[in-house]
Amino acid sequence: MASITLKRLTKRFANQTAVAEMDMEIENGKFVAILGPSGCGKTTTMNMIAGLESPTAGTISFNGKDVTAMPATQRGVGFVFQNYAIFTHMTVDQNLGFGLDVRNVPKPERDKKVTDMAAFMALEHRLYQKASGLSVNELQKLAIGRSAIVEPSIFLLDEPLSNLDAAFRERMRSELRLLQRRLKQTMVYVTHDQIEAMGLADKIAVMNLGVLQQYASPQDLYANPANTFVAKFIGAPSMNIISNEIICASGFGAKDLIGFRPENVFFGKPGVGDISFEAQVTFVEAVSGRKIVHLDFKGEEVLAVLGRHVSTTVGQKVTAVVSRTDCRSFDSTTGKAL
Amino acid sequence: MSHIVFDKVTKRYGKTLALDCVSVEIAEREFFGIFGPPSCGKSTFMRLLLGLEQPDAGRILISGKDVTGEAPMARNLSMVFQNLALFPHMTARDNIAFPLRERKVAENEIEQKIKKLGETLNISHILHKPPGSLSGGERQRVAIARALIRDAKAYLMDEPIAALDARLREGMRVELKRLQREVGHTFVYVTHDHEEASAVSDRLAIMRQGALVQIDKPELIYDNPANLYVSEVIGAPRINVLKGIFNKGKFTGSFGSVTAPEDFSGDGTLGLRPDFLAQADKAMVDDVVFTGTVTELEPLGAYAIATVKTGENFIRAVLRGVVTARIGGTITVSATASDAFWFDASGEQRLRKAG
Repeated sequence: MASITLKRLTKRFANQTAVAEMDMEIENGKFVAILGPSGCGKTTTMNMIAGLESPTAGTISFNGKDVTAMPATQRGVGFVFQNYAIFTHMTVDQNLGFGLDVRNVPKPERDKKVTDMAAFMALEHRLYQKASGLSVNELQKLAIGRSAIVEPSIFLLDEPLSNLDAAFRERMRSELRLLQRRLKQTMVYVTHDQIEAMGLADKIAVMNLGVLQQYASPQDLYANPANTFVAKFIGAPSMNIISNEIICASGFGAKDLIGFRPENVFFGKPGVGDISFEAQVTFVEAVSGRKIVHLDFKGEEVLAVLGRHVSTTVGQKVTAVVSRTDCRSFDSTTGKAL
Repeated sequence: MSHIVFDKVTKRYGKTLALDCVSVEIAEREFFGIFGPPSCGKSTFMRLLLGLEQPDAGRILISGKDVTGEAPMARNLSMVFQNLALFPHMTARDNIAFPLRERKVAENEIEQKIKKLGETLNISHILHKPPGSLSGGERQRVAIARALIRDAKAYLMDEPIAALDARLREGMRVELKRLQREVGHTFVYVTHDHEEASAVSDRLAIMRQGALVQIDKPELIYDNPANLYVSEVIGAPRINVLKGIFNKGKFTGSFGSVTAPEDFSGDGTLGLRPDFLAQADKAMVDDVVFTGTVTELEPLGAYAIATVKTGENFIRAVLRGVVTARIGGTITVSATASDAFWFDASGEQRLRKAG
């Protein structure tokens, strides 16, 4: 177990800054996700924590001890990649036991750990089969199990679920949480999928263009995004953000950007203090029991998410209502939350 | 008249039955989705429709004409593949123009069509660039423009946006549907992503092991699945599945006992969407009610998913609004009787209340 501290961590490649002066504290035993679009610097950050890449400037400490110059092999970090790198010519048992065997763990202990992990990963019936015969889903479980079994104090995962099908991803999310609770390791998880990050992590670091945008709990990111980037990136469909010059809501600055989530919009009569506007339905998507309704409001697209029993038709004119407490405002030039 | 008809079409590869006596009618101007897991037969369906393969039995009709046995060219269909297959040495404009130049269409006519498609697909500003310097989403649009530039009987798309990241996919699926409405063509669309399938399709066919198990509007499939398989593959989070025994208005299993229709008996399966379960302050008499311990809480922004241990089972419920539940705490969740899906023991047959 270990805490991780990043201080002004920076990585430059040639003429490009991949990570810029990142400050972050990952507490011991926490599950932290680094989330952002491709090219945001999340994998570079993880590679520096692992020791696979050395920073241009700044420091990395584990439990307060500076490890910036320490080689990867001495950091005691477990790693799972997107392309699982399993030894396909070896059996599941040999793969799971690999890390224990190279550390000369005594056979009875080794076998018990392998059996336990295989059971936990629901791979026990495959224990003596070659890994080459496993499905994609089983291979990824095996990759996670193989790294977890040596109980590294820090466990790093880079998009480990992105090759899996949707249903299995959902199941693996819960299994990863259970695994983390069982092993109580510090887990750092890189992903571009905000649902995955929200469902897994105690805290999420949202990155864009090499810069840490916000580091907070999932609920906090959703309820109080620090800027318009985070507001748009967290939550699906994205938060509506409209200039107050168009929506003209009282109590906000005339030029502020007003943000509100599609799921907080409803149709009907506004109450006292609610923000409301007349709009026209342009498009309706029915997805998983919800209706995503696209509205045209003075040429701007506004989305509303409604329950499955609400009937709407394209062309319909509606009064869209948002409670004032569900609105956030942002500076129109910096995009920062006000 | 139906535009595309599959009449009892069967296709085998050696011993594998890829399509099992599939019959379906696709209407003109319809956005028809085909959804299923990998290797369920959906790509075989496309290949047979295109004429890249011939069926072992059955007929395929396009605009009333039997095209079974006809070559792809004779069918006049246009296709977008997942791996776009754009020519890297040509500009986006030349890629889009390619199908028409092949057919010796006059350049000024091609230019007009490209201008219109460029506006519709919002790619006018990138037409001079080669595919290599375009983003994934832009390349996708170019490939779609190239398919649409031709007057075809129908436009076929096999996982056309699967390679894009989640955010882009959400945007593209709306654009595709809008585009289809605007151009008024027949689209046949294959995907393994249930949200995408539901979002774009006017009607959706659910495929399993070479057979079409349900064809309907997406929201009706969600609300009224034909069997357990359909209820499991459509909808997220995944449906809760509980096995038990019916006895005089009760359904009992390792999860405990809940209210069930009086007239059901024997072994059965209960499917309950996490979305239909709500934290119950006061349950109605015939509601399906569970009380258990919260073992997991996933906060996903607009809602949280609670995992509740009830008896030997774990069920998941979507909690909306202010979540008061805590891990380790006791919670009661309930669904109205009409939202519970009852199936036989195998899950193959939906059980419906008499009368």
